[in-house]
Amino acid sequence: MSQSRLDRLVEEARAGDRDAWGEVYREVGPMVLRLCRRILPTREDAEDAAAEIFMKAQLKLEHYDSGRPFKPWLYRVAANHCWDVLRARRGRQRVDDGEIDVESRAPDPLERILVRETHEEVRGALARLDDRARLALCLRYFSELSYEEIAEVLGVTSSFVGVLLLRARRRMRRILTEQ
Amino acid sequence: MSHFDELDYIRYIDGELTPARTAEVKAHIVECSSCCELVEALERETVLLREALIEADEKVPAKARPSVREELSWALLGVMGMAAFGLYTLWSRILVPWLERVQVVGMDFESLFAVVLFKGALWEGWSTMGKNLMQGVTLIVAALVVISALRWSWRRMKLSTLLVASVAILLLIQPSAEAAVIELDARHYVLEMGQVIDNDLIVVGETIRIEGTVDGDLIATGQSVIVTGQVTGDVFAFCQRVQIDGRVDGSVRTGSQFLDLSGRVGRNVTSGGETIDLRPGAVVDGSMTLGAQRVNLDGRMGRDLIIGAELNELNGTIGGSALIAGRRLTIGPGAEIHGEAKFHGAEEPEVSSDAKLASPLVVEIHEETPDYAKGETYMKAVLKWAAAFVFGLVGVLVIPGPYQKVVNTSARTGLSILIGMVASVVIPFVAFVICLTLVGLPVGLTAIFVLVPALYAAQVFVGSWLGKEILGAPSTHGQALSQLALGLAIIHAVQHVPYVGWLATFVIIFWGFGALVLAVTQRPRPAPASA
Repeated sequence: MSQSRLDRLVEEARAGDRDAWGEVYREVGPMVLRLCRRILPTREDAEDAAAEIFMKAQLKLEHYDSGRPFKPWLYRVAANHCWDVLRARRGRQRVDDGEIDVESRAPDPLERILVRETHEEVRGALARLDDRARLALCLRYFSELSYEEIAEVLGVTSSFVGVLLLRARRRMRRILTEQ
Repeated sequence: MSHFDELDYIRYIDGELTPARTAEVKAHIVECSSCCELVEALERETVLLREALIEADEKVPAKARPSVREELSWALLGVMGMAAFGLYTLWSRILVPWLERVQVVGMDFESLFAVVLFKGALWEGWSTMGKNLMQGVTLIVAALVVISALRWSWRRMKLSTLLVASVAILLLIQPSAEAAVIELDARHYVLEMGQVIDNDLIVVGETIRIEGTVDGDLIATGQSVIVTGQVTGDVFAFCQRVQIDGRVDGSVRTGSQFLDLSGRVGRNVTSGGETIDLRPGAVVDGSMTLGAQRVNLDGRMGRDLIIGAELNELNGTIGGSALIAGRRLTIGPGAEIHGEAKFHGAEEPEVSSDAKLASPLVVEIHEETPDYAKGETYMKAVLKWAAAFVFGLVGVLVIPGPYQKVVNTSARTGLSILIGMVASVVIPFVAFVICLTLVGLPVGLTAIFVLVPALYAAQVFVGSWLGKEILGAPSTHGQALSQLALGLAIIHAVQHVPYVGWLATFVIIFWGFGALVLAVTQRPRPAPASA
C-alpha cells in the first residue's frame, strides 16, 4: 500500500469511517504485532498488546497530527504500551545500568559476530537483553524512531538514548560471543 | 590524531549528530583507516540488526487479524437498542417497585448506610481501635486493601482511580464516633435484670442474654442472642439463633438460622435465615421483610409484609399489605390481612374460609420450567441478556484495560474453573468469619457486597472471551461490544437447554469468577527465551 493511500485511509478513519480503520489495521497490524513480538516476552503477550494498541490508537486518532507520518506515531503508541506492560512487571527484569567505556573500540568481537551470526541468533540475543535495552533497539532499528522519539517513550534524554543503544549492542555482542 | 568514540559513530550512522559534528566525523573517517573500519563494521552491524528485526518470519495469527466486518455495525445498533429497552424495563418494572417496597418497610438509605457501613456505635474511633490487636489487624488489612487498590488504579489514571479514591475517602471518613460498650471476651454474656447500659452495646460471645436494659443499639454476634429485657434502639444480630422475648423499641435486623419473636418490636423487622417465627402474642409495630426457608407468622404486625420463603404459614394479623413469594402459602383461620395480598409461588395457596382478607388474594403461579410457547418466556430471556450486556458495556467502556485482562485470563479455562470453585466457597466463608469478629463487620460485609456483582460479572467475562474466540481479537470498542453480545447470547441460550442448563450456569460462574480472581492476583510471568 502506498504512503498516500495509507494517509488517506487514516484521514477517513479520523472522520469516523470504520471501514477505513479496518483497512489501516490490515495494513499496519502485522508490523505492530511484529514489534510487540520483539519487545514482549511471549507470543500471547504480543497478540494481546497488539489488540490493545489498536484500540488505544483508535481512541487517540483525533489527537494525531496528520502533518506527520502515521507509522512513527503508531509505533510510539505501540512502544508506550509495550513499555507500560514491561514496567508493570517490575522486579522481573534488571535494568542494565552498568558503566560503559565509550572509548573502547573493539572491532574484533564485532567482526566475528558479523561473519557468523544468523538472524535467528541475533533475535535470541535480543530476547536476553533487559527490557529497556531491547525496547531501545527495536524502536530504533525496527520502528525507525528518532532518538528524541525514543527518549520520549523511555522517559530519558535523547543523548542517553545513544548510550542505551551502545550498551545494548555491546551486550548483544557479548551474548553472541559466549554462545 | 584524536579519534571519535564508538558512541559518536553510532550516532553518526543513525543520523543523530549535528551537521557540524557530522562533517567532522566524515572528515576524520576519510583520514583514519582504523576508524573507517570501525564505522563500516558498525554499519554492517546496524544492517544485521535491522534485517533480524524486520524479517518476516511469522504470520499474523488469525486471532490478531480484524475479522469482524463492518456489516456488524447494524447488528451493534440493534443490540444497543435492545439493551436500552432492557435497561428501561429493568428499571421501571423491577427496580422502582423494589425500591418502593424497601422504603415501605423502613429501609432507607440512611439505615442501609448504618447497617452496611459504619454507624457511630460500631467504631470507637481509629486511635482507640488501634490499641486493640484484633481491631488493629482489621485496620491494617483494610488500609492495605485500600492502598493497593489506589496504587493499582492510580497508575492508570482513569475513571476507576476516581471511583476507588472516592470509596477510600468514604471509608476513611470517620463518622462521629460515640464510644460504645464493647464486650469481646465474654463467652457467656449476661446483662442482668435491672442493669442498664446507657449507650450502644456491642457483644461477641457464644451466648448473649439481655435481661436488663440497653439504652441504645444492641449489636451482637455469636451462637445465640436472647433478649428478654429491653433495647431502646435497634438490634443487629448475626448468629445461629435470635430470640426476642422482651421489647425492642427500634428495629430488628438479623442474619440468623432461627429468629424467634414473641416480644414486641417498635419499628421494623428485617431478617434472613432458615426459620422465622412470629409467635402468638408477638407484636411488630412496623413492617416485616423476611427471606427464609420457612416462615410462620402467628403474631401481629402493624404495616406491610414482604416475604421470600419456601414455605409460608400466616395465621396472624397484618395491618398493611402482604406480598409473598415462594413455593407454598397457607393462610390459617386466624389470619387477617387489612391491605392487599399477593402471592407469587409454585403451588396454589391454601386459604382458610375463616381468614379475613380485605381484598381477594391475587395469585400468580410461577412455572418452574419455562413455558416456551409463551412470548413472555422469551421476553424474560432477552431482559436477562440485556441486563448482562449493559453490565459488560460498562466494563468495556469505563475500564477497558482491566476488563480485557480478565477476558484474556479466561483463556485458561481449567485453572479458572478450579480457582472459581475454590474462591466462591472460601471468600464468603472468610467474609462471614470476619463478620463474626464484629470489628471486621464492615470489611466482611464489604467483601460480600463485592462478591455478589463479581459472581454476576462472571458470565460477562466468559461471554466476551467466547465472542473473541469466534470473531477474533477486537481492535475497536464496537467490535468488543459485538463480541460481548454474541458471547452472552450463546451463554444464555445454553442455560436454557434442559438438564444441561443448570450445569452450564455453574460452570460459567466458576469460570468467569476464577478468571477474575486469577487476573487480580496474577504475578508477572517469567520471561522465556523467545526468538
